Amino acid sequence: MIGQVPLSYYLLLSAILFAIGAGGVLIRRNVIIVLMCVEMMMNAVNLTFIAFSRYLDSTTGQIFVFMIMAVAAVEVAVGLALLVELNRHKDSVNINDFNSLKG
Amino acid sequence: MTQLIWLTIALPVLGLLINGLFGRRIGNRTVSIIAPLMVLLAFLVGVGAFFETMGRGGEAVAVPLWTWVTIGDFNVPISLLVDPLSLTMVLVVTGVGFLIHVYATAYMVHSDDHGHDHDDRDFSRFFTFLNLFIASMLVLVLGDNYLMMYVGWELVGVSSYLLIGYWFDRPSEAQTPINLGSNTEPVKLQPLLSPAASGMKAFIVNRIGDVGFALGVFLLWSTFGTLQFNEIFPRAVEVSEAMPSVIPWIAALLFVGAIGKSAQLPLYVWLPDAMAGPTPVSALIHAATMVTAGVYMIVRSNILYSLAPGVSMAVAVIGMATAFFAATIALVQVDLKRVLAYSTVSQLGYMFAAVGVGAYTAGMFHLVTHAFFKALLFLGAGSVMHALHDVIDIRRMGGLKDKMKITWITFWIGGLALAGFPLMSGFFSKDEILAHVFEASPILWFFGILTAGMTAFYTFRAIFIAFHGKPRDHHLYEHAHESRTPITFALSVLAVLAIFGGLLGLPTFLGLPHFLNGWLEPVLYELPHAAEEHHMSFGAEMGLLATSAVVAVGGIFLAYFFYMLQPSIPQNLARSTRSLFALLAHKYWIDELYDTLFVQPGLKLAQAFADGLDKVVIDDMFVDGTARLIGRFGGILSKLQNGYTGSYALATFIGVIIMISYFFLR
Amino acid sequence: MPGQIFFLIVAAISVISALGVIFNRNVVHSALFLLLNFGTLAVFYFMLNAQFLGVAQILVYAGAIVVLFLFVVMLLGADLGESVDTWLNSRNLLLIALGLVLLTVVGTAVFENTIFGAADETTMEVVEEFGQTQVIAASLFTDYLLPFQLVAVLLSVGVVGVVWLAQHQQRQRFRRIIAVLDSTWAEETQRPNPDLLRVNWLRRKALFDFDQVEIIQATDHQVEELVTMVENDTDSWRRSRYRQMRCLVDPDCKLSEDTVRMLRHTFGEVKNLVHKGVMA
Repeated sequence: MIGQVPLSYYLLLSAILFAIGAGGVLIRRNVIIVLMCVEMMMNAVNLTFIAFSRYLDSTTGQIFVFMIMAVAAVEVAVGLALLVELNRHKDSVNINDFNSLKG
Repeated sequence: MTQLIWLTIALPVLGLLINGLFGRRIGNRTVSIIAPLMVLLAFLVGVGAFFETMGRGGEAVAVPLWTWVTIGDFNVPISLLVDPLSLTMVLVVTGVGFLIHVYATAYMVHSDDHGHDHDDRDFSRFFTFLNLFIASMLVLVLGDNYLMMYVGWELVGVSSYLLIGYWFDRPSEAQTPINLGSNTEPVKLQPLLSPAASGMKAFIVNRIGDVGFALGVFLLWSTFGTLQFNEIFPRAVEVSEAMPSVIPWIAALLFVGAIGKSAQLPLYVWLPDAMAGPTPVSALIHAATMVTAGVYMIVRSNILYSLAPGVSMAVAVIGMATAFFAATIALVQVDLKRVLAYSTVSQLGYMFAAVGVGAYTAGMFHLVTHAFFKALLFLGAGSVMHALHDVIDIRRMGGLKDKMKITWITFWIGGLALAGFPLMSGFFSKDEILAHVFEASPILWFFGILTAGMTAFYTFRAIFIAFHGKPRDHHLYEHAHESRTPITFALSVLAVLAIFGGLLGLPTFLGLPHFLNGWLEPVLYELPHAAEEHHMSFGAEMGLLATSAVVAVGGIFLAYFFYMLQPSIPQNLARSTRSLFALLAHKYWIDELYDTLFVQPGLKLAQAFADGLDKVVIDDMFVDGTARLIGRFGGILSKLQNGYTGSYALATFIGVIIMISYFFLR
Repeated sequence: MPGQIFFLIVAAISVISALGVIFNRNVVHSALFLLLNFGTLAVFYFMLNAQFLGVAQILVYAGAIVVLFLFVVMLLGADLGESVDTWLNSRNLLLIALGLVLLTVVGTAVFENTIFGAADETTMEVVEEFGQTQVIAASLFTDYLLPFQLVAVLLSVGVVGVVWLAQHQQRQRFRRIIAVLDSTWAEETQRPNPDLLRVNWLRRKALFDFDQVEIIQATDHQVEELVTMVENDTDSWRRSRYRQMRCLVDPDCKLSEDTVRMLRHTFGEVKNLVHKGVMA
């Protein structure tokens, strides 16, 4: 089933996904969506890691991805908890409403 | 013991560390054991080194400890010099210091009217400072180079400052005017400075002298390339021939330091005010040891002064002028400690007169005997103060001899020694100085003998007023009592020393042994072309001795006549010469003169700098200006921090794109 | 080649689902697209012989993270979407352009094989064990033991942090008690909703743990009474709170200047009450 797919295909796909995620972070105002896009960007990076790991015949990349998954899980959990708390205070999930740190 | 001489410094340092760090925890009784014990041990080490050096015939031994500074070829080893001169000072400092420590253990306990004793609230702080002083003074006298001497010189200055201001929260005190009889206006006196102000005054005046001393040390370095005594002195003659003007400059600059430290004209003004410190401090620092550092320094550098006869003469003239000047002020002082303070200034003047005319041994001799009898007198005055609850005005004393037998007798002994009463220690040392001064200049001698007469007079004036006659303040008299054993012990030992201290240097022309002459000989450098010492004839020597004796006895008798037999005479005399009397009572208005000439302009200048330079330029322009500038820039930059997460993310992405573009498209 | 064709199909699904995440009004739909995206990535992992991570991807991302997103959406309400015109503006078009630049740059780099010198041609033989769970585990528990442990610590910290945040919310949700000064009001208490308790202070005339003061209809004297009582409060916890407390005053009750100053002195914030018509 798995044929010879060149490494550059994976890398290009990963770049596309990363760019879409980045675009989402930049243009969307809904914090939930922003968080989703961040996750997507991270997944794009994961794909790169695994592709390289495969083509360089090294497990290191997979270990990295494992770590990233754990970090991502924590990040989402804490991020969403904070979001819920923020929503309680500001009654909003619009990222532009959370600007109390302005200089 | 000679190799262990560092212990004399280390032991007081140990004492000050223990008392300073744990003083409050270990209790005042332990403190009052540790502090004197450390000084006693240091004294014993000194005694051991003394006998060893005697056995060696006075040969100097350097005890290297470690190297302190090495900058290029500038090398300052920490090394101690054990020779007759430094050992003399060590024994005086630790010996008298020990007695005064013992004395202070009782003196720093105050009794109230109900007979209860209270330790001074900072008991351990006092002994910490006292130990610090002993250690500093020993650094000064034991160092084998000018830098260590300078370090010690400054350290004793700091200890002196700390101890004068020991009761830093006491206010300045007004003095009762001197009443000159019913129909004359009393002579008002200036208020006494507060201890804190006195400490600052002492420190600042000393600093003026120290600048001179430091410059002298710099000049020594640039001339000789070293600060070691044993490298400078042998080369001094050769350098003096090569550069004749530089040695006098060095001698003069070092003497400026001595003027400050040893309270000579014109920088003597701090010493009388230093009496604001506790009496043991006055006895130890401002009579027996620290103020003699200048004399020690000149004796140590004797070759430099011998090579600069002009400067030496100036030293002698300034010394004798100070002696005379201070003695006149002491004549009318009503504060017992101040009488003694001016007397100290005066006696220091004698010592400088001696070393100025090249009689280094005589100067050291007087230094030692003076340490004994002046410490004794100060401690006696302290004992009186203690009995009278800190009253120091002799006009409120009187008749104390019945209440305080030991203090009275020992004070008499000290007074006799100071007055130069025949066969007491002061007689021999003062006479030796006067004899040498006479050889150099009979005019100076004349002032010297006049001063000697005044010394006898003012000393016994104080004694007769304070201890004899009828009590003037009955309340004080009723409560007066003899002091406790540590005080009387110190007084008794010092009294013995004050009587027999003269045995160190009996007159040679009578064929008697002069110990110090032989002892200090290795320290004194002979000039190669020294003129033959032409000794005065036996008759001249004898005549001078007799004159001294007569003048001393005469002064004492005059005081007896004035204050015991005809008490109205001094008052009448003062009334008839009121302006002169007021001039003396106001100490020639020297303090006011300095205040107008230096202190006020200095303060005004400082104020101007504070208001002008500091406030406007430094504060407003540099400090606040910088802050404002940064604040303004920050205000501009903070516009970037608009709080919108999207903007931050955008900035990050732009940055990432720039970086990636740089890496892949370059 | 069938492998490449399969890859391209899955990649297309992946990109479309990624675009779906951001170009969707409905947050729930976005989350579902995200799920799809994660799923396609898991397929790639399998294709790359990383079976363990493929399973982990499904479990962690699809199973846990997306569900977490959905939970939050549920909690905050589903109608949080933005209309397209709120974001389709010139600034965002610029951003899209920037994204394209990024893509172009990276893509160029990839096709020029400049990254680490890894060439297309160096495709390795498929080693059967590679990517198997045992291999990962061997690596994880030997060379990477310390990072593994640290990840465990990180997860624990995350758990504790989230629990704390959640508990914190719980305390905040506790009922608010308002002390009301309203002489037109007869009952002792009023409970407009389960979270709010309004207490008639004029009837009670005692101090209690209130969170806010409302003065709707009261005389200067009554207000003064309240202030005196508050100022003399001996409870240290309550005393610490008065300076932060809000006090709403109905402008209709016409308190004197002095009284208002007194209130300002006692409470942290004194504001005029805006009528909503519900409270009175």
